[in-house]
Amino acid sequence: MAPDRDAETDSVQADAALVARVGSGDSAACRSLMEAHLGRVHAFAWRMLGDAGEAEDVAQEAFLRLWRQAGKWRAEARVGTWLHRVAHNLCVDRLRKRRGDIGGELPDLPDPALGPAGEHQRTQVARRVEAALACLPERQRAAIALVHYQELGNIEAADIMGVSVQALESLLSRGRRGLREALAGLRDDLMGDIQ
Amino acid sequence: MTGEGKEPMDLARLRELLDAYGADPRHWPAGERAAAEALIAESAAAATLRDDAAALDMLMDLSAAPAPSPELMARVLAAREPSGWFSVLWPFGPAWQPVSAMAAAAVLGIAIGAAAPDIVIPDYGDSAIAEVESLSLGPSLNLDNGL
Repeated sequence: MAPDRDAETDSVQADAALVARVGSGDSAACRSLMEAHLGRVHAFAWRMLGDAGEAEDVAQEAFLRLWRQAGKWRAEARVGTWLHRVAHNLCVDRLRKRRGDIGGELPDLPDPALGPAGEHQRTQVARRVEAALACLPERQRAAIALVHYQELGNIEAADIMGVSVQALESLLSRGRRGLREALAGLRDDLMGDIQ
Repeated sequence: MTGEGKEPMDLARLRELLDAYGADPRHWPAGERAAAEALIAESAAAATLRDDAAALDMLMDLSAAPAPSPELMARVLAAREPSGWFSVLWPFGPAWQPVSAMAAAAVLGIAIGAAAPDIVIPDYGDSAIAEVESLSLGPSLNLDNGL
């Protein structure tokens, strides 16, 4: 595991050097960080919130906080981990506010009756998957977004969510079980066509 | 869950692993990856569990997140653009570039000044000075000739 730790340390140090350049006003460093992380942070926020506009607001706010933090950045975490943690907290805040506003209303599910096979069908299935994800409790959704879609390691994902690795694993199991149940009909009917 | 992959994995733990992380070994805990792959390679029951998890993964992967808009990228960059009087004087990039150039020029000038040989002023003697004075003031009076 030592090489992994060395690589992690090198990555943290390299990120710190890049953020230090941002702190000194280096526009190229800003662009480099944005190109490396904006798409991922935006994707994570979109998975959590299910709304492209809100996801853009969260991604923008996460980067504004990074720019403000740049002058006093300490080499304790990778930039990607830090941005995901900020975005996660922002999403949780928005979801809690949303629940207060609309009483936990669930998004509409697309019509399960699918059209002919092909791209249209694939898109319809994708919408069903997204609707099923949106129906999961927020912590299960966050765990699946971080591990499955963002492809982060279990330790990093648990760190971002502020839970233990064991708790993360439990959230993942329950989340995937929920998806499996919600998509059971699709799996039986469509996997042959999609494959 | 925190094993180092040195001990064989049983089917029950593999099921937990697949239920949580899915069928892609890249998503599994690094310490258990080798043991899980070994079990799948040697057990048909394990391979069936993996295939079942892979079917759910495939459905999940049909959902692709949208890319951030160009407007978002512009807003994020604009939020860090330098502002104030210095950016008016130097709108081409970070402040360290012109500051470093000026500092380098100053250091170079001091270094050249310190390393250069002393300037030598030739000594022409008193006669040459008197000659210059006579040219500028005209012939001097000689008080010894009785005038």
